[in-house]
Amino acid sequence: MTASERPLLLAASLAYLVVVLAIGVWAARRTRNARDFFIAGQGVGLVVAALATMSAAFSGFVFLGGPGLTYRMGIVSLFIVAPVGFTSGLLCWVVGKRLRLLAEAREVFTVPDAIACRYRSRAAAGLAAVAVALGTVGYLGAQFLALGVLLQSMLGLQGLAPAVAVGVAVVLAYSVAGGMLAGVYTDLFQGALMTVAALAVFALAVRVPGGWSAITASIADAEAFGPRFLDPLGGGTAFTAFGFFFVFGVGVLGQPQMLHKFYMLRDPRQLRWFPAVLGGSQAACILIWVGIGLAVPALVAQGRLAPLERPDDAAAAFLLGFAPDALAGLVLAAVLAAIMSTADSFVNIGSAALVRDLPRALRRPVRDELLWGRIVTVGLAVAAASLALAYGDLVALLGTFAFGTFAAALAPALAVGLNWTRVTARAACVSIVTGTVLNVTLELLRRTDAFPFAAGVLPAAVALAGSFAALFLATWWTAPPRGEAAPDETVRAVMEA
Amino acid sequence: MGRRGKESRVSRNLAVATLTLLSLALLAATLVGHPLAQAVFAIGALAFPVPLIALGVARRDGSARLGAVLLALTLLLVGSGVGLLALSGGGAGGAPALLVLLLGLGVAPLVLVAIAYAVAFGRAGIDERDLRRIRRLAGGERPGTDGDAGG
Repeated sequence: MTASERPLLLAASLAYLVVVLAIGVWAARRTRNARDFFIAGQGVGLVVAALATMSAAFSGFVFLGGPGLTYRMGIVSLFIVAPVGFTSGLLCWVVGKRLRLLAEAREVFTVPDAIACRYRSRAAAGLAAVAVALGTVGYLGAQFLALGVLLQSMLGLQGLAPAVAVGVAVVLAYSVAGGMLAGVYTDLFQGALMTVAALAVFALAVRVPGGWSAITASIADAEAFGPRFLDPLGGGTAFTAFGFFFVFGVGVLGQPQMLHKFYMLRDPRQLRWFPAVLGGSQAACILIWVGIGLAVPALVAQGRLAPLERPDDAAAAFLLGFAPDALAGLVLAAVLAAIMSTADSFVNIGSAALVRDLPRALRRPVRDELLWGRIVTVGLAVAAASLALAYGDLVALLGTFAFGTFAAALAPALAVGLNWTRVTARAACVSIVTGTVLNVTLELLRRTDAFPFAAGVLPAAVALAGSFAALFLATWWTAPPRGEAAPDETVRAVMEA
Repeated sequence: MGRRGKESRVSRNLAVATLTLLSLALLAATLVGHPLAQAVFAIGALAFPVPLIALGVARRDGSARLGAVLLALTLLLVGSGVGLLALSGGGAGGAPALLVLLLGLGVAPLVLVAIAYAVAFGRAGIDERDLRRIRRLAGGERPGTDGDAGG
């Protein structure tokens, strides 16, 4: 039975959409300038910023792609979410503090802005903007693909295209209207919804198949899954498992949808409890991945659920088949929230890269950034929706590629560059180009026999390690910054703080 | 240069050297594909966040104050990873592997890091003197992103 035949379930989802649109309209009225549009007027408190960071980071990838990936690969997929144990602290210690202090001293709205301040290099800022735009199309594509899969399951639509079109229209409606101000408050609402729903569905997911023992026993005994499913490296090699850990643990330092939130904090001292709130809410949300990811194969093994034709249907199949209408409605609304909160963050980040950062790097600044931001947003959404329809694989794999693009392109230049004055603008450029080109090229080669690495190696892991190596080697081999190319006194003060 | 400044420089250089070696080791391991290379890759990936944090807090006495936390984090991450490698294969995974994965790599580091960050915030996070200095320096130059030096 689809959601369209269950009125309570549909009502919950529609109520969610109405609230989100209302927030968008409210925020649009408060959006007066580019500062409001891009960094929410730098007036956001700790809980709002941390929950918005979580909901921007945890997307359809976690709520829908995650259980799908676990269904296909087994518990090796959980290496993607395990790093949340330290990533919130890593973010704050390594880049969050510096970015927020930079925003105290300079008018920085975007990641390329921070790179421009740090390296005093238009080339580095421009390359970062290109990487952000590329990653944005990939990440938005993953969100639209997830949205399409979800709406198809909920409404029983034939074909992805109409479902994706509905999702794109809603995301555009509030992000074009309200920019990041709408984004951050919808993120807050969506983050709270995601946390509550994840806790509720986890309890159900453990109970329905008969508890933990029954889940592991059913999976281990099933021919379709077997003990390999529960083996930490069973569904891949150590390269896959620890590659996930590396990319999603360290690559978090290059994710603009998370880094932007640091600019929005009202007071830098609010960072003290940021890792606790961010990490706690992330830990709660990954329960939905763990719960549904293990419950669905157990239910298939027990013969209570038909084997899935498409792994990405795992979350919807569980919710529509085993959750009471009210809970299913809440959780499906939360999945929509997870997808759309990330999508609207990226819509704004991508438009900032193309409307602010790239033109400035090319010395062709745009006069009306607010207007052009809204126009470019539409173009990005259309490009991402096209990618979503053309991709033809799991949501999580498209998400890994996009996450890897940001990670490999931006993490080394930011994480090392903001903490070590010796890093040169040339080294940052080499690292950004190496990371971007390696990730895209290896992702394409992975689909052919020409992939030059060992079995199970993730293109994003190679690109991230390569980008770090390129940054260090280029720094050692290029002259240390002197005179005008060195960070100025204010930026040095930020880096020494 | 004072003793603390020298210590900070040593900590930073040590972190940078470790990160350089780890990134090269990770890259080399992916090309080789030997089981030993897989173990090198695993340990390199697990250890990588620690020198990054050390680099982030290598200011005045930050990394010295966080030494115990960084050591505990290294032990948790690498210990759990080695445990998972040991549990893999031969059908020994299941519930114990899940427990190590979720508790050893997830929950325990989260508690450690969240508490350590809040407790050490004044020393390894933001202190009032730094904030005042940055605001004073910023007073005369805001706004602008200064991306005009070429490069």
